Amino acid sequence: MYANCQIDEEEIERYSMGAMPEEAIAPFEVHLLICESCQHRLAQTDVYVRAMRQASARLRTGPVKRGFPWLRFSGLVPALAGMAVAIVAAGLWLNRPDTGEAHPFAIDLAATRGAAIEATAPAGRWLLLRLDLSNLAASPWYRLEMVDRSGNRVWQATVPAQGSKAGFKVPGTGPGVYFVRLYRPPGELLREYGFEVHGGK
Amino acid sequence: MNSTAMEPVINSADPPWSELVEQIRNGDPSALEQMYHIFSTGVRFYLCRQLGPQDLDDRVHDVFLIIVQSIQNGELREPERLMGYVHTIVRRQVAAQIDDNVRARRSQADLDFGKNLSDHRPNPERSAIEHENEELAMRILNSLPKRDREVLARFYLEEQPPDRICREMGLTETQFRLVKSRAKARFGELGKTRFSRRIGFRS
Repeated sequence: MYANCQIDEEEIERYSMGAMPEEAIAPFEVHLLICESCQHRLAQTDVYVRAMRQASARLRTGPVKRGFPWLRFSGLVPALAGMAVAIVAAGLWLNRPDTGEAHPFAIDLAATRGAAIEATAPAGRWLLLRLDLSNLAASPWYRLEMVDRSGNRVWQATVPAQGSKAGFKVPGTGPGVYFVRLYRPPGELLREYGFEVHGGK
Repeated sequence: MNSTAMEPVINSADPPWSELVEQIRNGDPSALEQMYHIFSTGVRFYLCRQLGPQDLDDRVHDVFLIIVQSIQNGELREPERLMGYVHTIVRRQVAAQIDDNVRARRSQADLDFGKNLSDHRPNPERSAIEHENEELAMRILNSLPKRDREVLARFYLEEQPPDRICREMGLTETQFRLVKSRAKARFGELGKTRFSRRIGFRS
């Protein structure tokens, strides 16, 4: 069905990233129910967006790795060794992970996918937690509460909705599983998201 | 570059919903089969994307049971809106399941059983696939000029709006689209065989 589907890649990418305007979501999802071409393209786009986010986050926190095939010439190695050490040291210094609030580690808590917790973050870094608010009761503000695995509150904030998204920064925490609970004021619990903070990559 | 609201897609290939709904109301088994054939892949896909693969068959079955019962009880008053009705039911089921998950988690936390209840990590196969995809993306990013890497990081990681990226990085809309589409095409080429094998929502 819908062999000649006209939905373009930009629309599919917007939906995948949770950036589609609210009024366009329902018509798109209705179409998605019966268009196998769009299902396939969306599945591919989900994979791609997720991989690019993870890889970009890695690049932001570490030095870029590149191949240097010309180093295979043995005569060059000793001559360049000292220089390389200095360059690597400088590179590591310049590209050291920034654990400050200005460059938080971004993670998406886009959907509750059963019991599995897929989102991960490094310990000790400020986090930018981004939430997908689509399909939720609309509100200009939401209250967010972050709890540890035992339900002890470790952070809370009130944040404005930006379209179908909300985001907030959280100071670095120790390793463990955490849950973010989303409330609509005054206290209606709407959704819960999970993520894991690990010791190091 | 601003997105516009999508119009509902109307296609000449749409089945005659009124006739199908009427047949379902009359309990015609072939109509039930036809409806299942039309919607089952899409319903599975939507549920799997929102809730994950566990209990997927049961969830799909529940959705179809609700739809058929609703139709037979006369709750679908405008048969031509069958697609919208199916969508509403599926969204409600997703919301209900999320609500159940939240409640279950709260009671686990209240009882302090959380540490012993379950391993929340994705299964090893899925983790391996995620890792492969991430490495593929790393290969592509590492092969790009620094400026293109920055464009992609701003868009996918930081979710900056395209017009802001173009303005701050001195790009035209076409250049921006090209950077994105080339990287995506490369990812598709490199991962083509995996994509075709690993889209896991089908039964």
